[in-house]
Amino acid sequence: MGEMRTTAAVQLYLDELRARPEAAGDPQVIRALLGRAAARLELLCSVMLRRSYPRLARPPLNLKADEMLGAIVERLIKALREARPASVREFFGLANQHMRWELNDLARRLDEHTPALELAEHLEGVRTPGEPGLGAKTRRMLAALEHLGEEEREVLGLVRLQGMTHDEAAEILGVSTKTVQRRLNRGRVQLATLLKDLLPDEAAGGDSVGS
Amino acid sequence: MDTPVTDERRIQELAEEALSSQRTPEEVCRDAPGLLADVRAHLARVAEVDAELDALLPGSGPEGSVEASAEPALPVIPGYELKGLLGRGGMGVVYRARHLGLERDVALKMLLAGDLAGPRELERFLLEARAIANLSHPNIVQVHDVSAREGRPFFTMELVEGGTLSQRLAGTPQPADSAAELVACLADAVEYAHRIGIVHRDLKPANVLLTPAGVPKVSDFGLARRVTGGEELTVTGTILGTPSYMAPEQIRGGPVGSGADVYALGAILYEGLTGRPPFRSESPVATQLQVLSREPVRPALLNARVPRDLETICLCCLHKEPARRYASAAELAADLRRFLAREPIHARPVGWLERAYLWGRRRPALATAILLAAVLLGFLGARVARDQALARERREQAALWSPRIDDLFAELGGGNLVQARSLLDQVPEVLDAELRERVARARRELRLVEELDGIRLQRVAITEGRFDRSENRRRADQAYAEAFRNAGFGSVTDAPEAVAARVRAAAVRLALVGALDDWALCAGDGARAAWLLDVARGADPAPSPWRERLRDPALRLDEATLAELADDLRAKRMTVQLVVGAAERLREADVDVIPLLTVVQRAHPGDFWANFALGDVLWADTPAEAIRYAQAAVAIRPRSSLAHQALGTALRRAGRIEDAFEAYSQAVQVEPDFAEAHGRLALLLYQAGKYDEAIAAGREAVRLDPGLAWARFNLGTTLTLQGRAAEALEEHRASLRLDPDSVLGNQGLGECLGHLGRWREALASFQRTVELEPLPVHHHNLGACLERLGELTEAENEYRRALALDPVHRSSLKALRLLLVPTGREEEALALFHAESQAGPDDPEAWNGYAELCAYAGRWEEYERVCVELLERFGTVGEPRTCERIGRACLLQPSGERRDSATALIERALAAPESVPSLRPYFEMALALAELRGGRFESALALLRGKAGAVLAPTPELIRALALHHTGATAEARRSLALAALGFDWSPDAARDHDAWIRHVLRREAEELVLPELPELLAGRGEPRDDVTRAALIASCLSTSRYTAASRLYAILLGEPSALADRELRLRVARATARAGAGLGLDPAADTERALFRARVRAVLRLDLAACGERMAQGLAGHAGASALLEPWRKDAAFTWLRETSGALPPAERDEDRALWREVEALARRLDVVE
Repeated sequence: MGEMRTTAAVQLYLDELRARPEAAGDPQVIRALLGRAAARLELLCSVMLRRSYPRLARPPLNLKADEMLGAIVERLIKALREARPASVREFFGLANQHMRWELNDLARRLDEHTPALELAEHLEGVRTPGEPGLGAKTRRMLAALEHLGEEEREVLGLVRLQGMTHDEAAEILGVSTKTVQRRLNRGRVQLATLLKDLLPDEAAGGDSVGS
Repeated sequence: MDTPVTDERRIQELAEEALSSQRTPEEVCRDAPGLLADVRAHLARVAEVDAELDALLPGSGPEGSVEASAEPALPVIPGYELKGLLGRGGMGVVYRARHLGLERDVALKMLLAGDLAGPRELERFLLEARAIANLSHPNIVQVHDVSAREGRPFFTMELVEGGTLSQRLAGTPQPADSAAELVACLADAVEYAHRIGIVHRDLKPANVLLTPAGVPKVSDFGLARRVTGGEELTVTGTILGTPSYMAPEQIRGGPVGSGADVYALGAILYEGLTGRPPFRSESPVATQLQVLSREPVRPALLNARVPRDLETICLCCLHKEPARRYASAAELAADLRRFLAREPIHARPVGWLERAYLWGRRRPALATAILLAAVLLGFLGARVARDQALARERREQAALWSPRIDDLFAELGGGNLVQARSLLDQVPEVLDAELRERVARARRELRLVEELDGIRLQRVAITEGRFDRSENRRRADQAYAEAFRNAGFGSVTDAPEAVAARVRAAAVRLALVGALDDWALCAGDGARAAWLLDVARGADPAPSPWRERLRDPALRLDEATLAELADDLRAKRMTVQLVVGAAERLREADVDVIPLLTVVQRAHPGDFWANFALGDVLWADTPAEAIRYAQAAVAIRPRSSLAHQALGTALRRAGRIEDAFEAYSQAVQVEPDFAEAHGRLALLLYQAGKYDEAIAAGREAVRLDPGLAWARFNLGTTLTLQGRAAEALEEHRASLRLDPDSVLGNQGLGECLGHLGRWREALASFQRTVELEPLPVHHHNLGACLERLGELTEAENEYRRALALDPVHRSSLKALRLLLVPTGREEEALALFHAESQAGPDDPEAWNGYAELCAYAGRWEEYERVCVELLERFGTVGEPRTCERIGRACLLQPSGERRDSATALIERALAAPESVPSLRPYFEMALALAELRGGRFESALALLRGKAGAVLAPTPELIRALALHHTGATAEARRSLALAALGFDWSPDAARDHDAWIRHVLRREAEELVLPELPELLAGRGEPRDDVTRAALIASCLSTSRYTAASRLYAILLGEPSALADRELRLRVARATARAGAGLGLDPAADTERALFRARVRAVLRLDLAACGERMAQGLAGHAGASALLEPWRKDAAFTWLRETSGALPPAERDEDRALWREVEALARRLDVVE
């Protein structure tokens, strides 16, 4: 479902570009970029959805994941379309920003949902919650990404959000692969600092007794 | 941690340098050694961040991290994929590798082949290493596999990724308690190995690995001896690095036993307390001399905070004479735990220390000379020993093995089967005749005992999918009889005295009596049990009165009885099996057996059954305690899959999912056919989101045991989640056949059928869940199912039942409102809102839509009241979406006193820094509404020309119509209203959420102002003057359920619906026309016109069916779109007559509908199957 919507939206975007060719660079390139960013966002969202509340998508309970993803991706594409980035780099800068926002928003919404019931161990009906606090964890990480230095944020965005290789990221930024890796390392170190107080201590797994 | 800011910056720089240059923390901190610990900690955090990033934002390729290994070529080892170098040590090179069969990462250690000269040596090494691989203890690095590649031995082991203890200590003294705790853990591990006859001989912090959670694990157990060939001294320590942790007798080259490990533990404790090992010098030889000649400096002199007792414990380990140290690692562990519990310790600070010290001070030259001579002699001895090794070995073999076989029989007699098995496995093939005969006997008896034990184990296992205690006992009874008969002890027809005599003659008598005790339990209370009691009594070296007492129903387990029992257990006056079996019977009679089993475990902490049984009664309520006993059971019997499984269950219960996963994996590894463990693995994989793996594990569990109802349910649920509902169905059905009264099972089947669109069948399952367990959620699910089937009254009843049980069951409230509003029962829906908002007045969600529904229902007084409350309660909230929603809801009345506060809320939403840009257009649209209400019409129109004009259609068009009207642009206002009228399904059916309610409210307002003639037209007086009026009239007709009029107007305005290009509009027209065709609404048409309407609807459906076929032809990519095309036809209430081919229609039409519907169904099925 999401795919259809994505393709349709890309098409719309291309149409617009064809009507006003001065708006952006080479449509071919933009088409590829747009499709890629959208697919990536969809992947990241579905990873989060699946991990956090595996049963959200099941009838007759709660949430229609596909529809939700469709809407999220649509918003991303729309935002990118409207911003009319002048360069590929600018395009991905915007895409990174929007993806962080969307993921953050999704994480927040997930936390508002009560976890649905889970698999059984005996059929008498043992209930276990899904992975707890995933939404909060994600939001924390995204917030930390937001606070990185400009260069580090850009590189981490390209590699982590857009799923690029170091070489690809280097090409887009017009720097060497080594530089990309250096910034990436600095970003990781900064993240570790930012998240220091947020990462769980090595306390034992906790002996909470289930219901 | 209060590191100064400048240090913090420097630490970051150094960490970054280590990452970029791939150098070790030690290397980058060479100039700032004080920061080493911090840099290491920071790098550990980076690793955690990486792991979290990997989980949240997985990379797209294998290139996840920067460390492209600079190591040239990795060795090729079949079955493993080597992924990189982990480190180098004296003994070899360690790689990170992936086991290709098991798909898990391991550490692979390739040994230096130097000392294993010939193939025979290599073989011996492998034999010994495999015995070590059997060591399984939570504090020992698990060796998985031992093998050789091109003459170089290697072994794989558990990957422990938290660094080594020596890295952790790094010269810093630890708090006394944590050092004591650590060494107590290590002593446990060492003791466990000692009891199996394995001495480590090279314990040191570098050989202690830490898990990321900080659990210490001893590595390289027992390998030091073989690899270094007992030549530690000859090469002046180059092989072993530092002799700082080596016992004096080891340096001297004398016999080395468990005492050497106790010494090393003491040295590790010393380093933990003081930050340095007891002896350290500039060269290994000098260190060795110190070890031999000096007394260690008292720890308290190096670190004043070392408690006196702990110092005494430490120095007791470091005695030069092994006999004066703790007799075993267990004693050391016990004393450390006494220290930790602040109880008096057993070690005494004796005066020898001072005396030796004084003696050495008086006669330093003599002391040094004597010690030096000892060292040199040690050197020489080692050389000679090596030269004569082979010859002597042959000669000494008999002498060597004879006492060990004595040991073997002693272990057998003591019932220590694991130790016996370990010894037996080490016995070489070549032995003289007498020894061979003894070994064969030991082997025979041990096999029998293992068989009997297997019967006992089988008794607590799940067979054929269920745990049936009495059936298991019946089987065990038969199996015991057979085993005893086959082993030549006779059968139940023989005289008990004769059988008892044969048992008495066996080396494994104690174990046999234990088996007899368990057998008696299985045999129940008849003549056979009496016979067994006789045999056991006769065979028992000291017949225990407990055999009868424990069977006495009048037995009271008071403190006195327990104390007496404990004494007798400790004195081995009865078998553990006897008490554990009795506990089993008592537990069935609902007696709390925890105190009884605790007594057993305390008396026999090393007994498998004592630990296993106690863990088994504790896991559900106190999993943390159960883990300890299950761990002990696993340590005693590493090959017991049940024990691994029990450990896994306790760990999972305690929330330690990763550890539980490991335990279940072990269970499966030990016993690949263990269905239940596969099932548990599937459960954990599912919880970790690894669905494909979960499905594979679940399939394996079901293949091995088709009777595991819960595993089938889980498999079905996982398959459904993965969109494989057709496969899931089979599992759910099978699970229910096995366990028809399972609530979850019924629910799972219902949901699975729902996934397949087979709601009619699903109904029965949901009904069953309600019967079995009338919970709100089950009523709700049943209601949802009924609603899908169009049985709205029934659905409503179910929602109401859910609400009777839980008045604020949110999903039921919402579902019920959605049922009520479209059928014109706004009053009831409002009452629900009222109740919900009263129940949770501070939750904005409880109010969501309340004000809008009031406005939609024309209840303006209640609307006023709700708005006042909303602004009072939430007027200061910060969350942008809530701000906007409430602001918008309070602006639905043309004039209002709350205009300014509502506007302020919307402005706050727009100004909020955290608001998502993609939400901005929505906020701006709300602002346009605010501007309209404030009389700033131009501003409203300007906003709507931007992105705000494209959201929530046709709301912006309605606002525009109102604004235009107020500015006097009447013609444009009419046009906007007409556009809006065509842009939405205005029938009450579609008025299902607050956005729709807002649309209706604004439409009515616009109609009143822009087209005041509408009510007249609606009443059938006069004709619409133009298309704009017609379009607006359509909306009014729809909203008042005048479907015939609406359909006629649609036809005049737009022509045949099937000719419309816009799919949404086409579907809207089809919906209205379908309702008219069914004769619904206030203005039903005559039969002929209705038939015409129905024909139009069919034409639209045919169009969609054709499009659907085309999409499917595009392959998978088109499928989602195809489903979307079919969806409204299969679900929308407007098309019910098409689906159900009602009997009221003429036969020709009915056939037509059936044919069309068959086509829809066929396509839907194909879509489902291919999905």
